[in-house]
Amino acid sequence: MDWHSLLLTPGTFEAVLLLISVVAGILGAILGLGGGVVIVPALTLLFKVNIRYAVGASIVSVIATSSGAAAVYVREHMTNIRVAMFLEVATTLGALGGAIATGYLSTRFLFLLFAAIMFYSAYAMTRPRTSEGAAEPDRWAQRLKLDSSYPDALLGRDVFYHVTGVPLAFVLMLGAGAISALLGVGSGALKVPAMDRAMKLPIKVSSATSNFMIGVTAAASAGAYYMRGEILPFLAAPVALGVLIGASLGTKLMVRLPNQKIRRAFLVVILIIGVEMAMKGLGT
Amino acid sequence: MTDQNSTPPTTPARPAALIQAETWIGLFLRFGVLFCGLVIAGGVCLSFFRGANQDLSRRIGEVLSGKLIDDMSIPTTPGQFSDGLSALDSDIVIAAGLLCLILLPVLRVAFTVILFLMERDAIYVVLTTIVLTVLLFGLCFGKAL
Repeated sequence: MDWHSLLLTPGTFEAVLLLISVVAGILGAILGLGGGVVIVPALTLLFKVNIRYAVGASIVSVIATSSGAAAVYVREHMTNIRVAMFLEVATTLGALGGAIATGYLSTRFLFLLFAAIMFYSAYAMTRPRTSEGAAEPDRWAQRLKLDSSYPDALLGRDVFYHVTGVPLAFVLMLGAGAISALLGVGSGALKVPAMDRAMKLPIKVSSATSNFMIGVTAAASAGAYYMRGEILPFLAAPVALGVLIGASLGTKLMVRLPNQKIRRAFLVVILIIGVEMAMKGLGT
Repeated sequence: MTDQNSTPPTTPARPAALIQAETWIGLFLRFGVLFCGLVIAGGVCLSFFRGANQDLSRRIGEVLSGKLIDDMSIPTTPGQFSDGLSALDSDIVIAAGLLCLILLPVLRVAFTVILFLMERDAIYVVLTTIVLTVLLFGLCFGKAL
């Protein structure tokens, strides 16, 4: 194809990739799913890049965006650092396991797993995000001093909350870490429900804490991928910069967009990507 | 939303030291991302000013055909970095920026280890040290995995 040969010029290649990554960053921020969910399909389906390099480029952009967002939440004291540090034991171990496993898994399997995660994300987006809050902390939460408070702007005061379901959340986070490493995504779509449903954290705390953890989870596998030469500088650089720019534009845009409508529209996009990835995995 | 009628934790959940630390972590992450982004962007700019485009075109071609590249050398040792950076090799400048970005969360965890050490919170010193070990393990032995 003609546009394909045009892409061989480094200038054009980097510019096109930057542009696509900006779009991925904007979409990711608006969806609350992160850029990885958009950038990996874009690189593999549109550019025919090997999924290992797509994952390598994406995981770096995940670190960039989550660190940027985490900075804001931490400053506003929404993050539960103890919960994050405790669960990071699980996510980093899971991520390291995923980084080891990916060498033994076929790209076909990675595509199918990606499709499954897209379908799950779509499903998760349709469910209302509310947590009733826990009446009392469980044994683990007491031992680990996980109960905390956050400043609620709406109520104008600090809101205290208890934490429960610690063992279940820990197990779920092992899986979230592995998925993040295998697919180069932040897997916030898996982390938030684990904290929301299992630990019964207030939703704002869940989102902030998930964001805080994503960077560390991604770093666990990114270190291994970097050393293995799967993070190509000329591919990862425009992707990381683009997603970073896109994510900061996206967060500003999000405030002005009619939330519900946009989410529903993107639901369709996610389902289409899921089908495309599944077809690639099935080799049709 | 939490149940308003439940008894709040008896100990103050948010000591001043923690709030102070959160502010520092926030600042560190913010400027860290900005710094890494600038280094990476600088490297991309360099790649346009300095030739070696022939090689890059070939590699882009390989990547766009779904191949895995075998002959790509990614800098990993301090020596490779210092040589490449002083020669303003664009690939190595970009790689340095990417590696700094990967190290950002690692440093953040190291920072938290110190924080919990200062608070004399033994459980969390252990937990954060485990996380730090896993992260460093991935970096040091990633090649062999």
